[in-house]
Amino acid sequence: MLKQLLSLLKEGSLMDQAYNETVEMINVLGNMFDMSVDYLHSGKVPAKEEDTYTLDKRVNLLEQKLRRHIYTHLVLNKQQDLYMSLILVQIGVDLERVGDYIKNIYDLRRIIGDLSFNGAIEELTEMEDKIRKMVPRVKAALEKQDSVAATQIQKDYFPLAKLCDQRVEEILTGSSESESCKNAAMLALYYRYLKRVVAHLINVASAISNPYDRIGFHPDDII
Amino acid sequence: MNYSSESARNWWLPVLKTLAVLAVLYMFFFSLELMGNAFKLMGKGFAHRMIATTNNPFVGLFIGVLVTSVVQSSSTVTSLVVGLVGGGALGITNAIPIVMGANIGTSITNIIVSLGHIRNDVEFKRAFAASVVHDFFNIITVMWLLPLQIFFGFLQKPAHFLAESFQNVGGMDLLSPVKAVTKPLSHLVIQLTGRNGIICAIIGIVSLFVALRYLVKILKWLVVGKVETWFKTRLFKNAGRALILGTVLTMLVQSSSITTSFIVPIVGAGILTIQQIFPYTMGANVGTTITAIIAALVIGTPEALTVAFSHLLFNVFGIAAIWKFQFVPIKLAELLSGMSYKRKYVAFLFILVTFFIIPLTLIFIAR
Repeated sequence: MLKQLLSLLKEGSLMDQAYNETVEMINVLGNMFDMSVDYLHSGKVPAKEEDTYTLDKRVNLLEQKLRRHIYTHLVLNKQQDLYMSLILVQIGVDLERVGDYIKNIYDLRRIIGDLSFNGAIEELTEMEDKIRKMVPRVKAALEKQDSVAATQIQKDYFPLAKLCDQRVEEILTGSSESESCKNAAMLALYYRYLKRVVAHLINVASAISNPYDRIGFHPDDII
Repeated sequence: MNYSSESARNWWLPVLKTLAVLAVLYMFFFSLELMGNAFKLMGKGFAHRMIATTNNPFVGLFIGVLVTSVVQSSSTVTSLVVGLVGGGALGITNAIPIVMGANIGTSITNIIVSLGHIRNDVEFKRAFAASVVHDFFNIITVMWLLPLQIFFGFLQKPAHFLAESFQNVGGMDLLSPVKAVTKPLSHLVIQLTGRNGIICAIIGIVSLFVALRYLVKILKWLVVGKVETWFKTRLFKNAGRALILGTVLTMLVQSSSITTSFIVPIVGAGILTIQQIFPYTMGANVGTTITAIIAALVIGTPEALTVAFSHLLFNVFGIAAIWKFQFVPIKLAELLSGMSYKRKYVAFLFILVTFFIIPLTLIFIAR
């Protein structure tokens, strides 16, 4: 009992814990993305403990803990840290969605089996690398509360999100060179999932830099 | 966006609040000293009237319910009762039912908090059940302990034994330095009022109300931010731990209304269940008895301490008896909340009938 009480005291405030949970979510999502993309290309099934589904459950649990901690903090402290609480909940929601889309990427390979990216492989690999680099940048901006870096992330990654949309549009209008319906569907979905991963990470960055009412909007969009 | 806690930035606030706690504690002790003197100044006539009014234990019980419902603080009412007993204006036998009533009356605060969830049916059902389970525990405990107290002195005898034992080991001298500090101000007020017992009593009672009100407020600021990390679902998975948490937190804040009200929105949101928080609520009942015990130690008479210990024993016996039957108050609370969330007027009716209509009617009839 005493050991447990001491460990509780070391845990810090509920807000600190909620903040640590968002950082932990980003860490898990980085691993999830690497693993799902590797599995998509290689088909090598990961060990159960690192399986995307297992990691996604961890992300979901972290989001639930985050909400519990924020809500309890607000009940006990009324309006103290209200702004920060709303932002952390918003970040939690976006990160949970990132987890869902990464899981969808994993499912592409699991459901379809052998994949053929043909001419798109070079561009896709480049996109994947960019996203791999985006995750630690978002995490660093969050940890340092660096609004300049967060704004830069949004500016750097909007074009990638738009490119993904453009590729989906090309596939749907038949202007791309897909060999089969199955491949076209697979490619459209993959571009879409990558776009959503990028878009939700942009939302997280925007929560660091933008005023509360403009979270999720382009920093230059002034209404 | 800044993730460093807002409270952490104002480092000087805790220092200021600690000083404020000391000032308010002084006011609390002073009010007890002054009240004791005031009741003595008011003479035997006042004591006889008070005793005659509360001679019927049921009237005493409902006075406790009614007054506590109005002031929303059992600590204030029990401290006042302890003050009256210490000043010789009230007998132990008459005081104990009032203290029991205060236990029931204090639960009105968390019922009011639960009404904040009234717009969402599911949330309200959970929140209301979490608040009224406190009432059912208190009502059930009164139902079996009050007759035993009336006929056999079931609380009074062991409380008296405890008070005597405490006195024998020198426990009564624990807060005697406090008396030395508060006496000069009390005497000054008595002199300034021309030894008028009534005016002194009014000043004492008002000081007590103000002191306890601000003591709880400041302690809440000081304590809650620090112990919020204790509000973990895993602490509520074990009934014993939840009981200890409720007791300790209430002792620190000195108000069961505050600590039981915290939990209501958390149950409303579905984070904790009524089964998990019920032991915490019972713990809060034990924790809140500390204020009257401190008051009794300041007053320094065995009679006052007997009443304060009766309050503690009431809750300890109540918990011991219901521990294996926790489902009884829980089921009753769920039944009432099941009725209330469909027909909201039932909730309001429950508050009116339990805390105001029944006490007022019985007090009126007994007159």
